[in-house]
Amino acid sequence: MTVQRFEVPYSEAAVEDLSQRLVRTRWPDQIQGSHWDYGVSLDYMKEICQYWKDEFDWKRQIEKMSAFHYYCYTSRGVGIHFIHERGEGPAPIPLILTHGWPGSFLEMLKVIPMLADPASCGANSADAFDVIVPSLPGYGFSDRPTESGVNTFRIADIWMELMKELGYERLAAQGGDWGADVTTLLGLRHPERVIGIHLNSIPPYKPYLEAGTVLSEVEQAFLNEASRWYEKSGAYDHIQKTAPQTVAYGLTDSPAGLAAWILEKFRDWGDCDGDIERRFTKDELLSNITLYWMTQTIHSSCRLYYEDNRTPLHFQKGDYVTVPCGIARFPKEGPLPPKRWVERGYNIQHWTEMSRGGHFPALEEPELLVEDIRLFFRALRS
Amino acid sequence: MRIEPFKVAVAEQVLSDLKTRIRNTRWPDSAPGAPWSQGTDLEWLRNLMDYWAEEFDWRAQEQRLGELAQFRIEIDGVRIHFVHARARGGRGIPLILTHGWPSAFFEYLPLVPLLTDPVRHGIDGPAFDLVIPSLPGYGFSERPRRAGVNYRYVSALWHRLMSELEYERYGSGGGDFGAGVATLMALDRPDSIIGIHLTTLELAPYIGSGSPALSPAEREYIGTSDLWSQSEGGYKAIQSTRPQTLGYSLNDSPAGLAAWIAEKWRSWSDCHGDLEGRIPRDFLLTLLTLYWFTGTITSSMRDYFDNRWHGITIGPEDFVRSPTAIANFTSQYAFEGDAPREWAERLYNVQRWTPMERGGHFAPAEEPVALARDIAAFFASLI
Repeated sequence: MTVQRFEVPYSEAAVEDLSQRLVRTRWPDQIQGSHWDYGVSLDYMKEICQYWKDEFDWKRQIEKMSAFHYYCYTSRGVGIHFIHERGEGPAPIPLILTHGWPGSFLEMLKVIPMLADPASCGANSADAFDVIVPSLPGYGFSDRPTESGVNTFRIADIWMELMKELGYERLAAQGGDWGADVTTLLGLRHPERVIGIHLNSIPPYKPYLEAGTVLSEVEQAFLNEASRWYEKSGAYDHIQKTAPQTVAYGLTDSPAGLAAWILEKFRDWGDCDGDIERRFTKDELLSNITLYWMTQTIHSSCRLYYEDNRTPLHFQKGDYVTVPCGIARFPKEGPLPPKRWVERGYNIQHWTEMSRGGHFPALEEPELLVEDIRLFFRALRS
Repeated sequence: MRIEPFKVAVAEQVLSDLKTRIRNTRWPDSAPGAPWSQGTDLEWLRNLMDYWAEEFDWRAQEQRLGELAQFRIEIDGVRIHFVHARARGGRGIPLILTHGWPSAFFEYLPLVPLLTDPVRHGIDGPAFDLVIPSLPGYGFSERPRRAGVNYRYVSALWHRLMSELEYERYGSGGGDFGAGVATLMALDRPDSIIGIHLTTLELAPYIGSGSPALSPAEREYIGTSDLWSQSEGGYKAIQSTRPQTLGYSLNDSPAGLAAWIAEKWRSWSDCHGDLEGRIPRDFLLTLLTLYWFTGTITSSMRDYFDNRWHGITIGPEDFVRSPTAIANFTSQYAFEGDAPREWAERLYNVQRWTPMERGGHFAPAEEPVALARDIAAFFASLI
């Protein structure tokens, strides 16, 4: 049996150890009045770590997670953890949702019931999906790859195997961040089995450009903006793709260090105007961080950057995602490529400019995201 | 401004806490592929940490450090630590030597006997009065808790320090950030400077419009250095944008700190990938213990942030008129490029140019004798 039931593990000793480490945190100093200028604010770190130690209840979070059905699929020795919820409706279609970094399957918990059982939240049961939410290899409860080469291409192939194993010949796919890369590759490499793909962020891909191609002004402006963004905000990517092991020691050994590394991205990339808890509750932030802590996967999660750097998503001649593509463009997702840039590589059939939301729309704007997914795939249901 | 004697003394409780933390290290898994290909190697680091906790004798190192005359002086509201080693038998040429990142004043100590008593060590040239400070926010020097602590700011502190020590004219030397500080000392107060001696080229010259065309060697150097930045520059990207975020883990985890610093010593020294063949373990662990004990990894990284966003720009008018010596220790394991002399001459009045056969980024620790000879010969030519 390659698919087995999976129970979310809980260890009292690990919770106690985490608490002890939090008590012993050796804080750095901070420039007076610098707030978040040099990175995560010391005041906020102290506040959230205090909450983590004294109030956050990991056991209760796990109980909440237990509302879903968990499984593990083993592909060539690598166990892939996933949630599988059957749709409640006349003709559910299978939808695989893929998260990114530094997120996890936990991002999807709000949208799973909305997608699987639309009637439960006042929507039309004709829009129901069979929902599959895997954890990327090296993330959450999936195994950490012990060999090189588990890149987004391999992950897309594993997803297809998994879906076949579940009896799904044809499927719909959705994702953001790494999930957008993987989802793109599902559409690119397996068009015969993919109904359509829906992305809430555009991967940092390179379309194939014939020699002499002149980019439009808006495309050039976007590429310039992307490189400025990278200069100011891309350092995590630079270090994770070149020396993930070096940064992993401190992040694996220090809960405060791990929390800072991860929550900085939620503040930067969420539509929160600098007020992180306007968008994410402490429990949401800490559930995700605790998942990385308990599974000791910050290193393996960062390694996907290293792998991707060796096999980046650069379209070759003839590469084009022919299956219908739907894009939900959330305004605080940055930098935002113009439609022309995306059309070079994707068969865009649906393009929604959202009024609010950022990089984590399944957490930030679940209704907007779900409605857009339903709308896009409604047209593709046969 | 009061100058107070200073003695390095780590509390027993801090040492035992350090050992406990090392023994409790929660290790990441090992990256697949060749050792060191994705950063500091797990097995190597475990060995080092084991030695740090179980065998390393900090007290012996502390005693050795205690043999040097050290002081702290309060300037601009912060206490600056320095070693003051006078020439044996009379006044020497005053010379202030400045370290860089991830290093400490301690890197320069091998030069102390060689330059304060050169004759005894078979070095031709004058003796020196050495002043070896810790950069603000490194080791025992405090860093102002505000933005803008850049090369220029530190160079002004150093002029004040030398003046407090009653030196009117002096030399300045260094590598890495220290080379930037020495450059600014000469740019801003040339009258006080006899000459500067650099072991790395920290500051790029102005190459904008109106400057001479780049030579083929300069273009090659820029190309090599760009490639190096792509593959090796992640530390700099993060330290110049989010030093605080990284600081939480490095200040809380001895293994995290050791991995971060040791990777740079291995990449930047002339060690062919075998760090301990080049830099003794006890040296490395003394350095790590200094960073750990003083809790200064975060403040040290702010140098990258402040010099990038609150820094100085070298413009077409900037030229260091003071005599300049450049000792080229470019045999880094991760090769960063060989700057040609014409590159340096855009910014400096280069009077001495010495390509070194061996030695990388940490010249005082790696090749103290070659460096001492070069410093002595340079200043002998200026007096």
